[in-house]
Amino acid sequence: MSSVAAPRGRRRSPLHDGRFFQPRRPAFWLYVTVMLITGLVLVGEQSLIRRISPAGWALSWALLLLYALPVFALVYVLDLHEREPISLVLGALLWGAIAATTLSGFANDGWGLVVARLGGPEFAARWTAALTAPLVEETLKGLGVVLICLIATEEIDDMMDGFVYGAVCGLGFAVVEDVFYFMGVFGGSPAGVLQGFFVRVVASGLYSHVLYTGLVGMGIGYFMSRRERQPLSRRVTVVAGLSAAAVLGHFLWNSPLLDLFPDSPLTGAEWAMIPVATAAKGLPLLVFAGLAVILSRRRERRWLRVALASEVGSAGVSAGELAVLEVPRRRRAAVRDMRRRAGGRAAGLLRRLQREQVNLAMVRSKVDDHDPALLEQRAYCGSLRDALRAIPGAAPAETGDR
Amino acid sequence: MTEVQGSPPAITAPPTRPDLAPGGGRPSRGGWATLVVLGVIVSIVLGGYVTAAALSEPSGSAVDVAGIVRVRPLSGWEVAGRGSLAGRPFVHLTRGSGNLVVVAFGGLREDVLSVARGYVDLLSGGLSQLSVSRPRRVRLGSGSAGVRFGYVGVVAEAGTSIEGEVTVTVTPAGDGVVFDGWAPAGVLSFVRSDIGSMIEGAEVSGA
Repeated sequence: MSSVAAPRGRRRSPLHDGRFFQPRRPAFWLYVTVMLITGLVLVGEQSLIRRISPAGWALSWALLLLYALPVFALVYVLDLHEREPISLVLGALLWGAIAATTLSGFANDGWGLVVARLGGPEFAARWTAALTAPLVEETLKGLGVVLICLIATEEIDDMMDGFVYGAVCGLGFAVVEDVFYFMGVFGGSPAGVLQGFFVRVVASGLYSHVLYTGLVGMGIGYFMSRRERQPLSRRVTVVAGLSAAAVLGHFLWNSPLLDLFPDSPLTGAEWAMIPVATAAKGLPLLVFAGLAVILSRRRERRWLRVALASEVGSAGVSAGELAVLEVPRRRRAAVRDMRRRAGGRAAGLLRRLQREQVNLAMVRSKVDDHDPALLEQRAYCGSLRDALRAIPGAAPAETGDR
Repeated sequence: MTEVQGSPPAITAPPTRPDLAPGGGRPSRGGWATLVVLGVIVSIVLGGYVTAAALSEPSGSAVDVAGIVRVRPLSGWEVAGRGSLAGRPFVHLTRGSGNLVVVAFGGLREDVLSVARGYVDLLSGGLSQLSVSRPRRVRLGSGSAGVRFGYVGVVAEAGTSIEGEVTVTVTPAGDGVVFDGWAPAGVLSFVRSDIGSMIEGAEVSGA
């Protein structure tokens, strides 16, 4: 009979300061101050538009939550090796929903005046949304990701971390902006809200702020995580390039270019044109972002292999475990297999061992061979493996090391 | 019996990072970077208004309407015409499809709301499907009190939808002014700031 007194709760790498509440960081206080001010404004605005049509307003939020929850989950699990601390991810989401939307509202109006002054009213009516919103909104959302990075500096380990924070920030922005659109542009009645949901979420949801800010976040992730490995000029080039791609995609979306949208009011078959029209504007950036995410995930996988190569054979990780660890599909299969053979407790322990081996890679990549943290992390992985092997039924293929 | 240690390995201090010099100074808390973020937020949010204000300087000389009101067009605005509307003198300023019609009324005995109602009657003569908002009290830059209301309608002969905002003021001396800023539907928001600035800067005699 084995006795396993496994530690409770999730353990994070000692190299990480992945909490949102960090009052010693100036960025934390800037975040809180901006959120308080803009939060008051947003509450006032929401209260105002709720009065237009309480039913439409409630339906707007219900529909958008239906959209936002799975998107949030999808973005959250995209990061292969290390799930970001939920407090920081929620911080990014709320910045996008509250601070970025409110500040963008003011800023877009101001820069719209400049466009109108310089270009005249007709030009402004056609181009203001394209010339102001992409720069203003991507900057303000991106600054939210920067603040999260400044609050928990060491939490950004790679581009995918930046993508996660950026994408959820964009998701928060999209949800609140859509509520305004449903109520202000589509009339706010339940029927209008449903039309708005079709146009802005069903037909356009793949191409929106989640994508733009995800790209900006990837750039920020690259900039923050490569401080020791890449020269400043290269990091600036990458963050500027990815941000420019996001701004360009947003510009194309808002501009009169490639406009295949049928004129209102829409009838019968014209509704079917909406997804075509949105795809014409949004698909190129979606493909670009998809490629960027795939490349970034491959890079993560390479990084894991390289970081753990010198650990193979130690107490930390075996060759077989590493082969499983670097492919998420294999990891999940190993956990499923373990649950079938030895039960949920063993499966949970295996999942935990895998997580700690990823942490071992992080520690390994940042400290020298004899650092106490590395030795302890190695031993910790070894003790988890021992505990796993002691569970009846787990031993034969407990770690995927066949 | 195998037992996992009850808690993760105790790490009393974060490990030394190879990129940090031994005995290096206190790690940065990002104070300067936070200041830069604050600076960028302020610049983005307020920069448009500051720039627009700098670009919205009056240009040229003031335009006088019947000695009752003087309006200084902003840069880009020009006088499109003068004439009379129901016997009242007016001047028409334009910038692209943005318009500001300034009508002067002398020797009035009505109050400001009556003048406003009279102007709505004038509008209804030229616009079909006219819809007018409830007037609200305003105070102009000249110090005179007035009312303001919005309207939408369709220009009868052209079939073009327009939207406008009318500001009416009457001085104690019985002089009145109607400022009617209008533009095709969807465009008014892009000239409203200019129109507002010109109304604020207008000099109304006896105000």
